[in-house]
Amino acid sequence: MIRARLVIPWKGTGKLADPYRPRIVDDYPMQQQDVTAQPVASIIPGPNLLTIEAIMPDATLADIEADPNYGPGAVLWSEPYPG
Amino acid sequence: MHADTGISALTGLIPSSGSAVTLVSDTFTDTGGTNLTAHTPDIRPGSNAWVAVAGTIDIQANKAQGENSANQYYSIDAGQADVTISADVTPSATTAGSWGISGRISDASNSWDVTVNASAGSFRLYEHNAGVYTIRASAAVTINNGTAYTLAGQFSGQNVTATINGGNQISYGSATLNQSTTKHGLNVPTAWTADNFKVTNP
Repeated sequence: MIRARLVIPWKGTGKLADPYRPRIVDDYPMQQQDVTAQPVASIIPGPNLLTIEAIMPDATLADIEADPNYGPGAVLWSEPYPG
Repeated sequence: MHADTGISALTGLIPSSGSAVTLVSDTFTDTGGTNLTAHTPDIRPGSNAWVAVAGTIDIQANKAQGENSANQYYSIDAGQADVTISADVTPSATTAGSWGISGRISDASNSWDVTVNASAGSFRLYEHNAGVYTIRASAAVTINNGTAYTLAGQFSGQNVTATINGGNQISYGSATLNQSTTKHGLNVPTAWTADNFKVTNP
């Protein structure tokens, strides 16, 4: 497993059926938390980004880095988990 | 009606396991069809009662069951904002979506929601702020409709930590919304049920 901090676009409209969320949670299974803590009132999905800290299988991070929607630039840092 | 008995009726403060104190406990043992507002919890502070914040939740087969497909919140004042809330929540395919238990509920538009979502395969912590829903933490978890999951949320200052069946811990460290709100409760829609609701401190 890998723990990584990622910079990810927001997605959603803030409605119950389409909440504001990191776009990546729709694309890859992971355990994640928002570490940017942007106030809800100022969340505008485009062009704003947020930072998440996530735990995922090594292969998932490799897939994210190979995904043109995210790429290696989305990964601020990563480390084995648990360290 | 389920009557209070013994010292719990006087204080609502019952030592639980370890050093935790039970502030609210409800096994929803009552006549079928009883609205939670007409039902007395097993343990509660003083004479605090369930309040319908939005929608309808009643008792069916000795469990709390939602009766609305839209959002519904029922809360009870535990007297403290820094608490651990938990309940056994059973989702239903009848009403797909993210629901479960809620903490620090001030009204129908502001709360912290610990939810499961079967169709998304997700366990989520929502900030529900001025009617806007934001997923602040989540974990990919297989959720089966018809299966009970013990959801728990621990609130401590700006920190919220949630677990499902004691694992898959997710957390958020900037929970400033309703930080001093002492009302906690349920958010279950049509055909979803909740049982063994508890609020403890810590």
